[in-house]
Amino acid sequence: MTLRFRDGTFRFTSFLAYFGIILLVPLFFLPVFMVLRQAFVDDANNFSLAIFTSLLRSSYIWRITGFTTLQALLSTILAIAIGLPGAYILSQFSFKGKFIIRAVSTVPFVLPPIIVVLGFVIFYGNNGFLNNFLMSIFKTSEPPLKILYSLKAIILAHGFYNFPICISLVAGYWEQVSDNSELASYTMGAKKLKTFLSITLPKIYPAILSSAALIFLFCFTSFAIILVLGGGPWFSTIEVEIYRQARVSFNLHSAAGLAIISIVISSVILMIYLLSQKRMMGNIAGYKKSVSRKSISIKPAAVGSILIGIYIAIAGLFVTAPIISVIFRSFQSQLTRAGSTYLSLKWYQQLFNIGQGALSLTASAFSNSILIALSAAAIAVPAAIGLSYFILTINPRKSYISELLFMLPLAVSSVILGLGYYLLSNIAGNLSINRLLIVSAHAIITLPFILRAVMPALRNMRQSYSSAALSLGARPVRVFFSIELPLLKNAIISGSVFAIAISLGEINATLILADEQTITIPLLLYRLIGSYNFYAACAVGTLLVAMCILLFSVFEYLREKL
Amino acid sequence: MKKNTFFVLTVIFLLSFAAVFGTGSREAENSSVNTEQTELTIYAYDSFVSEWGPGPFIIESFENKTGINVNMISSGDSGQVLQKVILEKNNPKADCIIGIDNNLLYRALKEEILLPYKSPALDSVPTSLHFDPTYHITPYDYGFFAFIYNTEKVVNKPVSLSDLLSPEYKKRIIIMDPRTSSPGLGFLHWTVAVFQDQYLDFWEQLKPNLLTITDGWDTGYGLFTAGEAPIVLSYTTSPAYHVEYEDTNRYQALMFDDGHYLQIEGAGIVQGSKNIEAAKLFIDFLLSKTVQEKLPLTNWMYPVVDTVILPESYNYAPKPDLQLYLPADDIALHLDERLAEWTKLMSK
Amino acid sequence: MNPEKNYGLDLRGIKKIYSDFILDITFSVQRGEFVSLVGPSGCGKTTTLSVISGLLEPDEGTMYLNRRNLLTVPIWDRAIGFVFQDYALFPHMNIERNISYGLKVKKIEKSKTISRTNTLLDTIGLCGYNKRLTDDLSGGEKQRVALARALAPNPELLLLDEPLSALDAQLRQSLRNEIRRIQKDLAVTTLYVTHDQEEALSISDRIIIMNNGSIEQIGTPEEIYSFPKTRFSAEFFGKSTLLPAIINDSDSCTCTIQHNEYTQSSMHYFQAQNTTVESAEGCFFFRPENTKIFTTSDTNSGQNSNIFPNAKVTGCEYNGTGYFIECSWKGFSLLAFSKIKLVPGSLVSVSVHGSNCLFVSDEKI
Repeated sequence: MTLRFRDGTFRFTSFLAYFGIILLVPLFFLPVFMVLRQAFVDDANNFSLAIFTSLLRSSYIWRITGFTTLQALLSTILAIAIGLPGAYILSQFSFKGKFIIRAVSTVPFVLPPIIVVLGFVIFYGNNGFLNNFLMSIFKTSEPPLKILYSLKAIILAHGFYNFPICISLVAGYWEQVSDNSELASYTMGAKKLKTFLSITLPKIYPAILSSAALIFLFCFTSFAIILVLGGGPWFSTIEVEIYRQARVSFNLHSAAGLAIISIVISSVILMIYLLSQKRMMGNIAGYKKSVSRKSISIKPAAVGSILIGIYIAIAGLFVTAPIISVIFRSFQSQLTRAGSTYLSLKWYQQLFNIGQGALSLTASAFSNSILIALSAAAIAVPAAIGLSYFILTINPRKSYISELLFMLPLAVSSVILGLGYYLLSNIAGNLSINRLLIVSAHAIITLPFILRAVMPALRNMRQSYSSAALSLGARPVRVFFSIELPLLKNAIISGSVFAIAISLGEINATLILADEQTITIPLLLYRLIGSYNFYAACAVGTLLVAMCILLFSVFEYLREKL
Repeated sequence: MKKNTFFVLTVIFLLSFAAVFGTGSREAENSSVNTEQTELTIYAYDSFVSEWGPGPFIIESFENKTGINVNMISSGDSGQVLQKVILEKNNPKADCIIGIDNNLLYRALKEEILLPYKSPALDSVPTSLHFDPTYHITPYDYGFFAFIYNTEKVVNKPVSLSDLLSPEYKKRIIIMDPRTSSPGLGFLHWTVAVFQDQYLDFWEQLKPNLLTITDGWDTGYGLFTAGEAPIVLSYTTSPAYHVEYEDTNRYQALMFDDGHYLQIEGAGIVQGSKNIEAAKLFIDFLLSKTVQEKLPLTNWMYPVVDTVILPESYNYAPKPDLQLYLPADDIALHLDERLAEWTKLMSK
Repeated sequence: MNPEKNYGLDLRGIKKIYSDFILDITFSVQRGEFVSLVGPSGCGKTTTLSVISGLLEPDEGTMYLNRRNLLTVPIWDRAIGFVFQDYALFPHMNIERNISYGLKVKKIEKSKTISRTNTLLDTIGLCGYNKRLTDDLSGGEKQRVALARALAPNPELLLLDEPLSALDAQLRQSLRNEIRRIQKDLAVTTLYVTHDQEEALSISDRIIIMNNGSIEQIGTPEEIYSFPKTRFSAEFFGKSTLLPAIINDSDSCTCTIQHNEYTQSSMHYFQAQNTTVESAEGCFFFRPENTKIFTTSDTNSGQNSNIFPNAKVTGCEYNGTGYFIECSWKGFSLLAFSKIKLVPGSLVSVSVHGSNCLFVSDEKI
């Protein structure tokens, strides 16, 4: 028998849900729909399936679709392989600094792709720190490590940038489903490997699948990493082809057709993600009763700590080295002509001297970015909460579809969304381009990430809390604020952190929507690179990373103290 | 202690909402001022509008000179800017568009989004740069694609496109993808202009020498300055930057006997503009000495008015003797086919 | 449909219809009465509580609490305290804030809130636990806090949904007595859901037996135990013997046990005055405690006694006061009670007086 207590709280949260839907429809569904419908019409605006039949008949399209899928698959496998030991360590042992791993996991989201790529090149490249180091050891002039510019490089970059997702997702789940069945298996004489394969793996499998789906999705729509680190068009993906059709060939119809193929595949992956998430919830509910969480985490033994140390060192090095390279580069300055470098704050001084106004350009970029990120979170967080309630109140079959729809911004390329905005501004006469629009666009882009954090928490929340509060005389709004919101606190905080981080690093929508007065951090970075100033761009990137870490520390503090 | 949870969350939300409304009201103030007089809306590509680009200077000096307010909106790269104008065709919001180059020209003309205007200031521009004979687009600057090399790393410098095929440059060249970047497309057209029907053979042989093909100029040039490869596709003016701001001449342009592909950038008046007279003033202003003098060190292109004195650093930005470019009709006719062939060949 | 004056809670024709389940109930609980709602899981007990509390809206029927029409009142104004099976203590609040939650939302004066909270903590024997966190409490303590929290706003009706099911047997026993004590002290009308028959028998003023969405029987524990009206009620409470039977003569209260080829007529049973048996087919029922066992064949035990001769002992189970004897008689299983231990395989006669036997119809009355 289900207690449909939500009937009581529906009024307030449905208000939030409508708010979310009101945001999504004109700023996401409508523009995307307007682009996608181009796939079914010809130049004279008559219905036609010609685009599709020709796309489906093109062997080239099938090949790039195949490659896109293949590289995403390989990248996912690598990311999971590197991430699983980390998840094991995080979930089974207690040690300080877990939040650093969480902080690191957002770095790929917050840094614009161009900085990620540059960081990779500065560290792993032919003239990178690693090769220079090796060349000085082996006294050769040829770079010994030729990792970049191949399929290998794509997969490595994807793997290394996505494995923290696997760590945080699987570890969070593993912690909750740990119980004594492993111990029972040991006492029955099973070997460790056998125990892992027969008991642990089936148990954490939904979490692995879930993180794999997410990683696959990110790799599937990856753009700059594939093009630059892959070494050229022999590694072409659907995303690149959409870009070409939309921006270079101006062929909206083909771009829309390709976008549909991409969205269909992404939706399947999203569906897998949602289904495995639901299974995880079921399992957690099942395991929760057996053992309390605190008793599980044990201090690692001596050999264990050494292994853990080695793992953290290696994994940390791989993931942070490119970022550290960017940071290091930002403090490097070249003496004229000689080419030798020394450390200085020159680029930072330069950054804060740009612009003659009361505030330097850099300062206003930072204040803009922070305001936009906070406002976007302020819109997206309530909307995501409302939509989560909405998804849980409607019947299960419909809830899958609606959850998929609300997560869709994750699967639609920014090229398509940008085109949609242009088309939209064509019909909606007074759609003015301003900060509010940027904020809304950011809210939509970050919405799936908050939804991803809030949905499981809400689904996991015992209904009896709200029922109890209602029966004690609290009205639904009061129940929402005094009981449900505090219980969702951690999920909301971690979702907000992600949202803010993503908004801080967002470049694509901003580039399309920003007017000349609105400069943001990524825009500043992009413009610095565009005007040859790579060192200063690295300095901006460094500040962005610093903000990200600061953000995480603040929220970690809030999480502990509140 | 726990009581504060809700409080803190609310404060954060309220503050940021206040921020949104704060920006909103600032927005409103702007528009209320602007409605009092003519406002010219100009679409330009992002690096033009950028603090380091010519945009801010042009806006300020134009406003001072004419009293007309300028609202310059950046919208990504020049391709996106054009696309935006095309998609807004039925409901145009821009008065002027900046950044239509000879590669985009055919598209702009085909879509009939521009008004013809022959600026009197064009008299001071050499006719060889009048790239739109219908005068829908007025040229304001130009440049040449060129390979830039690191003089400390390359021993034998190539002197023609064919020289780039030599095995000594194996994996030492960075170019950009013609599907996603305008230097990339310029280079593809360059090879077509030089090798005609045989251009694919050139590319076939070039493949082993390419370290990577980047999505945009910025990434490619970033890799080059990071020392990944000693040769990169860019503009003849790039060395001037390093001389001007880094006081180094170790990066120099490779001048090829085959000639260099020309890029001319122009601006036009958008069909449906309600401020045509002001827009014409703006086009004229782009050709004024004030603006033309600024372009070399902000947009890193040569000014179209040839009487403008170039900065000293432009001694390292040589103009090629032989200038190549494909006519707009040829691009219109073959662009898709060439890109498809190129992609097919390069992705083998 | 006026609610009767004395009744605290009055439900008439309350229906909640699902695709695979229909709840259809009518009953009343008097002011200050402690009524247990029992039945197997899935029978609709929790749904009933949800409907009363307002978590669920019924499709049909009327519902009054102390003459207030509950159906027009939203859940938060119903003044009904609810103790959940999982206690539902708010994990982000300490004990004090949990208990005072219902007072705070009603904007009760702060000093009154504090004194009421402390009184309740005293009542449940958790004085000084004010600032403890819910995670630090034992199951029994959580249960008491949940009770105190539900009682804090002085509810007109207290609903308890299997509040002891997660606790161990010993704790369950002491806590149920405590619940009953507190309930009596405060004289709060209470509806108590449990699936534990013994619990229901020991603390209730009256018991409502539910099965498959409807009510099987309502009565005092004694009535329910001794005079089950249906086969379901009979089987649900305690051990019993049920034999298929047909009424011979309802005036003289005799029936015939009938099974396959075998019949035994003139079995006496008891029928309360002013009651009727709806169907002539049903079961012959008696409790093991009312039986006598004879090891000899001398079974003359007077009038109106029912004798089952030559029963073979198949099982013998000690319960502290005596032995439950399981016998096989003509292919039936009989349950008897004996003070002495009997060896399985031995032959006995089981006797039960007619006044201790009932005829229960299969159908609901």
